[in-house]
Parts: sequence; C-alpha cells; structure tokens
Amino acid sequence: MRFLSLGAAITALSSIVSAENTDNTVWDRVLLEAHGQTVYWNAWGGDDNINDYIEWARVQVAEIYGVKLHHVKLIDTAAAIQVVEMEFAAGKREDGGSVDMIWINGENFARLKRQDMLGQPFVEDLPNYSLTDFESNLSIQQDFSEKTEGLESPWGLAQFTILFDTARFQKFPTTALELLSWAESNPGRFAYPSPPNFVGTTFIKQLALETMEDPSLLYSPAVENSAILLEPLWSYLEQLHPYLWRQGQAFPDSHINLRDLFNRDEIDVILTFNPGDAAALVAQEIMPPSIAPATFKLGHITNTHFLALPGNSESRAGAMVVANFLLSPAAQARKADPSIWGDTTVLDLSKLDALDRNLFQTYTTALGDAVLEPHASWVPVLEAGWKSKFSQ
Amino acid sequence: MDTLARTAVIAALLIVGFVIGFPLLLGLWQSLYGGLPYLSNVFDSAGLFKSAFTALMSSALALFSAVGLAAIFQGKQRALTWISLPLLAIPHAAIAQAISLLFGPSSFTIRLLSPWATGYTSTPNNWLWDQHPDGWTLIIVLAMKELPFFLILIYNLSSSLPLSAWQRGSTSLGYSRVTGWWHIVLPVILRRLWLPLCLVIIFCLSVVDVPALVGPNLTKTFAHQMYQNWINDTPQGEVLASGVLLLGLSIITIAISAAIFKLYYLYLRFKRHFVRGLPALILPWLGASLGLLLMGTALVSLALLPVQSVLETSGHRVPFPQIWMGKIGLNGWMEALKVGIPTLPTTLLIGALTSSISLLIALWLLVLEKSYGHQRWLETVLMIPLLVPQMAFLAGGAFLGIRLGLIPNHGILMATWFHLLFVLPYIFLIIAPTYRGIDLSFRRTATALGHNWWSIFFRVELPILFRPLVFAFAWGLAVSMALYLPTFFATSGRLETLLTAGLTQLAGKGDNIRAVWGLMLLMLPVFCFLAAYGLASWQASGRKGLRGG
Repeated sequence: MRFLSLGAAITALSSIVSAENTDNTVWDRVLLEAHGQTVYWNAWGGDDNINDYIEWARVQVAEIYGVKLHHVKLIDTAAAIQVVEMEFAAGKREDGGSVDMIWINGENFARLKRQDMLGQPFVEDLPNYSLTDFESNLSIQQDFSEKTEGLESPWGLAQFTILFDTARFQKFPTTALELLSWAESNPGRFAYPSPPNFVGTTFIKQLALETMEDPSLLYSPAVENSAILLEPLWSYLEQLHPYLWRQGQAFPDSHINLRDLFNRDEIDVILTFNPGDAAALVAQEIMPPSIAPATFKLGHITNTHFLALPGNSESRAGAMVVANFLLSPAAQARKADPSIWGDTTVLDLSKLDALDRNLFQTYTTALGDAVLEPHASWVPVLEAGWKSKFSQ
Repeated sequence: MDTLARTAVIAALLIVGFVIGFPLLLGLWQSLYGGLPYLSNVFDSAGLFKSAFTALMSSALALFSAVGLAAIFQGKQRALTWISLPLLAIPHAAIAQAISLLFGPSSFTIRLLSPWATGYTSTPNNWLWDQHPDGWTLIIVLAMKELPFFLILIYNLSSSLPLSAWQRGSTSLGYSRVTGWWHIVLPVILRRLWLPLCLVIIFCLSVVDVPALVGPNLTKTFAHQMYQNWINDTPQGEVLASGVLLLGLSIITIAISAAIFKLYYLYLRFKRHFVRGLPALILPWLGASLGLLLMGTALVSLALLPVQSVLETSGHRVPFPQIWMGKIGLNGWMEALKVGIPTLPTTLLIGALTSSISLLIALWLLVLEKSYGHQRWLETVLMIPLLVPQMAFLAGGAFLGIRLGLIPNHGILMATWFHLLFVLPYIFLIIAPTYRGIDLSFRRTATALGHNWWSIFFRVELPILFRPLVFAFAWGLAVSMALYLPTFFATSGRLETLLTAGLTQLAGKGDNIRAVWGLMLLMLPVFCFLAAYGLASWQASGRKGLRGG
C-alpha cells in the first residue's frame, strides 16, 4: 500500500520493484528517505552508449522514486577514489562527502574497503539483490579475491576475450602457443595495451595462467620471490613482442584505442573485458559486423563490476534506491541489449518469472568458461615485472 | 596616504599569500610528508632521463627557432604574430591530435602517398614517427606550441629596446641587419627570456596530455608514467613520491639550462670581437628555417582537422590504402556538440572570472611596485604554481577546500581559485613589461596638468596598457580552458568544462570525432585571441603612438 502513495508509476512498472523477499518496512523507509535526495554517481564517462544508459536511468529514478541522479563523468575511477580519500583525510568521515555512488571493482574496491570508507553493508537491503546468483557465484561474493561483504552491489559481468575479424581469419587462436604462431604469420597485426591499463594487465594474467608451471599459485597472495615464478611468462612475451604492432616499440595506452587502430586497418584484434562487445560494438555502429570473439581452451578471466557507496555520503538511501533500480530486470535487460550497451546481466535468470525472463531472451551473451581473477596482490608483481622487462 | 599605501601592500601580501601560498605550501608539505618514504619505489632513471631530454630539447628547439625567426624577419613581425597568436591559443592536446592524425602510418597523408610513392600495400609495421619511442614526436609537438610563446615575448620585449639605434650602430660598422641582431640584440633578449624559458621547461616536464597522444609510450616520460600510475590504482604514497621526484627533476633540469646560459654569456665575455665566421651567418637562417617548418607543419596538420572531422570512420574499417569509405557526414559534430555545448556557460564563466580577477591582482601588484620598488620575491611566489608539478600541490589545495566546506558545493568559486594559480602568473608576465616600461614622465606631466592619480591611471596608463590587457585576458581564458586536473579537484568532478567533457570523450571514438574535439577545443581560444587582436587594433587606431609596436 505504501508503494501506491509514491505514485502510480510504480504499479505500472511492477517488474522494476520485486520486493517480495525482503522486509518491506526497512525498504519502505529507505524509499521514503530517498525521495527528493540528490545522488552523485561517479562513473567512467568515456563511452557515449553507457552515458546514454545512465541518462535513461536518471530519468527513470526521478520519475519513479523522486531521486535526482547526477552522472559525474570520470576519465578513470581512481579519480573518485582520490576524492573520497581526500575527504576522509579532511575529516569528512560521516557526512559532507561529494561521491554518493561509485562504479567500481577490483583494486579500487579493495582500497576503499581496506580504509573502512564504505560504511555499513547494504546489499542485502536491496530487494533486487535476491534475484542475483549471490549464493553460488564466486565473482559476486569476491571481487579479485577480496570478499565483498555486502559493501558493493553487483551491476554487470565482465569477461576477458579477444575479438578477431572474421572477414580475414576463419580460425582464431585458442591457446597462448597458437596466438604466438598467429602473430608470427601476421606481423604487426596484434597489439595489447600496456599495463597498468587493466585490460593489458588482464591479458598478461591470462597468459600467466597458461604459461606458469603451477598456476594455482596465482590464487594465493604473492610473496617476496613470486616474481621468479613469472619467468615463463616473460620469455613468452619476449618471443611475442617482435611480432606486435610497431614491433613492440610502442604500445596503445588504453584498450579503447584498439578500436581506432582496428578501424584504421593497423591491427586485426580488439582486446575487451566485455564479451558482449562483439555484438554491441556492431549494433552501436562502432565496429564492422565481421568481428567475433575467440574462445580460449583454458577459459576466460571473469569478474563482476559493482556499485559501492562511500560512507560519508549524505544520500545513502537515494544511492541504495538507484543501485536497486539498476538491479531490476527491466534495467538489467536494457543494459544487456547490444544496441544500448550489451553488458552481461548479473541476474540469475532462473530466479525471474517468465515475463521478466522474456526481456532477456534475445540478449543473453554466451559466456565462455570462466576463470577467476588471480589474487589482487599479483597485480603489482605483474605490472612491475612487465615494466622492468619491457619498458626500460 | 602612507598608511593607506602600507595597508594596500599588506593586503596584497595577504591575498597573494592566501590565494597562492596557502594551498601551495599545504600541498607541498603533504607531498613531502606522504611521499618521501616511497621515493625509492618510484625512482625510474629511464623515465626521468627521457623527461629531461624531451623537455630540454623541445625548449631549446623552440627558443632557437624563435630567435632565428626574430632575427631574419625583423620589422615584419606583424605577419608572424598573426600566425603565432592562434597557435599560441590552441590547446596542446589539439595540436598533438592533429599531428598524430597527420603522421600516423594509417593516416590520410600516408594513404594518399601509398602505394605509388611509399611502396606500402599494408600499414607499415615499423613506423614510429607519430609516436617516436625516443620522444622526437613529443619534442616536435611541444616545440610547435612553445615557439609562438617565445616569438610573442621577443616581439613584446623588442618594443622596449632602442633597436633602431643599435641597428644603426652595427650597420655603420658593416654588419648586416641579421648579424647585428644576432650579436647585439640576442644577448639582451635571452637574458630576459630566462624566466619564461624555465616556465616552458617545467611545463614540458609535467605535461601529460601531449605524451598520451604522441608518445613516447613504451619508456614514458616521468610525468606521463606518474599520471598513468595515478589513474591505475597506485598507492597514494607512491603518487606523492613521484611528485617529489618530479620536483627534484625540475630543479636539476633548470640547473642544466642555467649552466648552458652561463656558458653562453661567458663565451660572449671572452669573445672580444664579433666573429664574422659562419655561426652568425648560418644559425639565424637555420633557426628561421626550422621555425617555418615547425609552424608550417602545425598549420597544415590543423588544416586537415576539418577534413578529417567529416570523413565518417565509425562502424567500418577503412582498408589501407583506401582513403575513405564514401561516407561524409556531420555525425561526429552532432555527437560532440551535444556534449560540448552544455558545458560552454561554465567554461566561459570560470575563464572570465579567473582572467578578470588575475588582471586586477596583477595591476594592483604592479601599481604598488611603482611606489615601493620591484619586489622580486613577489614575482617568484607568483610563478611557483607554474614551477611546481600540478599534481604535487592540487591534492593539498583540494584538502583545504574540503576542510573549509567549499568543496563540493561551491564549484565555481573553487574552480576559479584553482585556475587563478595558473592564470595569474601568465597574466602578470604579459602585462608587467609594458607597465614597467611606461615612461614616468607621462605621470609627471599629467600631474603638472592637474590630474589626480586615478585620472592618470585611467586616462593615460590604461590606454597604453590596453593591448597587453586584452591579450592577457584572452590568454587567461585560453589557459583556464585547458586546465583539467585543477578543475577536477576543485569540484570533485561535478562541474564539466569543455575540456573535461572532451577528454572523457576522446578515446576510442574514431578519427572523425577526435578531429571534431580537436577543433572544438581550439576554436574558442582562437576566437578569443582574434577578438583581442581586433579590439587592440581598433583601440590603437586612434592613437598614433600605440600603433605598430
């Protein structure tokens, strides 16, 4: 009954609010508090389609919940992390924060969590959280081996893959060795962004998993002499680099640049963390229709991206309402639509009713076999190793 | 009057101290305190060397070309100014963008020449000229931007020197105009270009957006590396330590260039007569040729931007060496304008506020200087924000703003404050020489004619200053529009300017959209400069003594 008082729109969009499983009174209080709040959402702003999607969400949450959403467009998420850290250092620990919600994962999350800057756990209060596969999906429970502990709400799934041009190649490499011979026969046509770009780092993580003698070591914290274990990776890259774009003398700064290089006919690959990119970049008329993802025999490094709420936000309720809205079947289905964005949903489709499930029918991205992210402590080891080997 | 004046001096001290010194000291302290323990973690000799090398080479190239042009084209500076002003106003990122589009292996130009002239049937794999790993592309782009800065400064300085008398002297001794300039004027001008040269060197050391576009991107310059680390989750201590190292590198690089200057003046002292030999004959021509080459390349690459901006590249690949896929359209413009136009009011408001306040403060300081003598330390304090890497003190300034409750809810105020740190020094640098050069006898004459202080200031001094004032204003707008990090930190990213919106848009968008953003970023400042030029000419047209210059 309380919902009705918030506007008839809610009944019309009942699929958005699936609040059966949670305590209604708690969530009702959140909804009431959220009404009229302003939420500054700090999210990477480099992609028009994602920006348009966020703009759509802004209109929706204003209409349905009376929440004023602002998208603070970031060049990189770390900038928002810096702002939050600065505010805490300046004594704004409880309130006065300027960042109400951050699109986040991995090291950025770990960094805020470690410093206790994310306030109280909130995801279990979100009615739509129960629609995710939170019980068994490891990449929702853990973010780069860091336990999420209810401090960030899952938003989308990411999986590392390489897109090739089917117009020129019928068979894509499936292993590191095949990739090497592909590069040898197509000199200059492969490129990867230099670490610490996260896609570049993920590429060498993926190779490390395949080249190391005991890859299981990557799932426990890196120790003092862990770097030695990476020797096979470095010797592999030493063989690969002469056949890279610009003979390995120059590297793209960002994975996004690969799209330009591909369209300019300098390279034949695109490395991406979004398996839906193959369809989405075509649907959005960024890339030609001939691109298709490779499948790795080993499986693909997979992780989840999240929404976290800094503890000094004064619009926590509003941010929770937005996070919950973004988990709704309608919002997740729109996000999965390749012509809108093409980001894989975090919802467990078996938990949805038939009507909601139908929303996703055409856009389920076939994910490859998932490999979990190595422990976060390996990232600096890999990056420092790469730098000392290849960029001095 | 004396107490009033003293109050004015103290007020000036307080304002400069608060506006500039406070955030600066706090930020530096924070960097040293937080960064020193991590110094050894971030020490990177290759990156530091590359930074020093590119900064010194580009500054030297720009300065050498500028003096060459000035020596050869004496008295024809007007044409050079017309070319220099727009180049000066164009953001570095736009030129870097244009150069990388012009010199890329898959660029428009290489495609036009392939395969008939180059022999390439696919994009050359060993091509490095659009982002040379040793930094040569970076050096060239930076030199293109700094050359007009030096040229305008030389032009302004020359107007305060008795050039024609000196030239008559050297001509009567049998030297050509060029040789005479090289031997007599150059040593005087170089001495006064020392501070601007330091600014340029420091700028080249800490610039990030240019190397991001034109490399070197394997062994990156130290500042570029530092920025990459910053946006890729490096612990804050290490970022601060990098700032400290960059500061150290700045000091060393400045010391190196100071030593080179010293050697030059030692050489002049021990050289008793003009050397009629080759150097004085060849060097000016060499410099001028390099200068024309640099400016010409910059202009050609910029002229290609509009062409590139309508060749639709998105959604398909353009097989080499085909030039385009038959699609011409304004989609890139539509997309960019949709994002860019809403940011214009904020961009212009912050720019105009910053420039106006800077002009007022600079004039105030100069007026005080007339009564109390040249305060060198004040000038030095003003320059510090340009002499210290931004990243080293912006965090401290933001910290202060948050503490005072000004961030994030007073974005315009904070952004103006932060921009002031970078705009005020330039504005001071532009108007100071002219104000200091105003003949004191004007004031005495006017006083004798019964005019009071204010009336002289407004009726005599301001009209003389009009030209540098409008240029300073336009320059301030251009500098303000090109500031990214200060805007971000001042507003927690909540306020969008044309530049912050543009930078989030640049990557991965296709050459046409990148060309559009290059053009959008350069149009506003160029328009301001042309307006300033027009205004100055119009004002001077009624005043005989102000014409030409």
